Amino acid sequence: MRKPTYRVLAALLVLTVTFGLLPGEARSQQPEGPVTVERETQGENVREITAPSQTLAVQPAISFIDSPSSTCYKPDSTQDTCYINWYYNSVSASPDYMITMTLTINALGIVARTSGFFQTSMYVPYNMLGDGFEVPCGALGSGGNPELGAAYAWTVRARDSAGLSSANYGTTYCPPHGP
Amino acid sequence: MKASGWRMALAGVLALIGLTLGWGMLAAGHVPTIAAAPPSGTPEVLRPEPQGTPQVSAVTTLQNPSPTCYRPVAGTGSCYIQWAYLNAVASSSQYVISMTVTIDGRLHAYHSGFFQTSMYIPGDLYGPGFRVTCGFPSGAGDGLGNAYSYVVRARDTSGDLATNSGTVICPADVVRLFLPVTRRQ
Repeated sequence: MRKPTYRVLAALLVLTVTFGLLPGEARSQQPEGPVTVERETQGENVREITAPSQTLAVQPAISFIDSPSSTCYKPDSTQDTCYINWYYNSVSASPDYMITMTLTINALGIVARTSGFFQTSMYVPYNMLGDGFEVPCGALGSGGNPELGAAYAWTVRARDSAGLSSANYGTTYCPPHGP
Repeated sequence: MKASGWRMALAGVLALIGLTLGWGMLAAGHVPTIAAAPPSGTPEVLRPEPQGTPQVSAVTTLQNPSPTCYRPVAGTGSCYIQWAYLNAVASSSQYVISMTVTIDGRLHAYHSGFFQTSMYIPGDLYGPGFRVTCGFPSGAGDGLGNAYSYVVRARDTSGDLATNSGTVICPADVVRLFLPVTRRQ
């Protein structure tokens, strides 16, 4: 009868050490920097919301950025010139204000920056960006897909007045140039 | 020993029933709808489509109304192909992964989905449209020039591929060059 009691006590001790001490240690090692509140992935696409600290991360007002249909098109098949655009980019932070939204095509750097003006949401349609952003279409397979041309990674980032950030990361493929 | 034998036999029977049910469910759920579902992230293989009469696929809703070829300036030989809009809607609870526009076998636009169940591209997102050669007047005397075949494809996360294809005919136009004629003195 004694042996099982010792075993149970030993098991309880191991459980206490595992679930009692380790999380405390993990808490003490948690970085002070931005906290990822939400993160979703779908193929090559990633969207996330980050907060500058744990306290602000509890109920973020900022939404995921909606940036549908990233497009690369080639207006003239004889030219190695393509244009990247989105149907629109939209984000909301009500009741907080939107401060900025930036579009970055990694190969070009920041290509657009929109500022908020006492507004709780921000909507930038495709025709605000002219024809889009000019890039070389690239040779067949140059972006890693044997059927397409160059690949361009992009980031859309937005920040609200509470310091919360929302970001989308994606890749756009262009039609190839060449025979 | 007897009890242990009964338990073994019962476990065996239950396992057999489980395997049978599982196999049946898998077989029922794996009926391909339009094309074999490619694994996520693999390159989209563009296959040649029959040309001529417009063909419409019905699985993923795909619309490309009013394909148009227009000649904005006479005497330039340049025409532009444009649609009123393109619209793809994914199968139930799926995301649209991509939509492509191919004219005469050449890819002209690639649209990537971003956590979206439908994809709407207004015609003017392409600016004036896709530039093509208008072509010489055909012998019929109808004022029409070159014909271009097009294919619009959309794919969703279930692997369903919708394809619309057709032909658009341009107005005839050729480049006019006016060379100065000077008389030698």
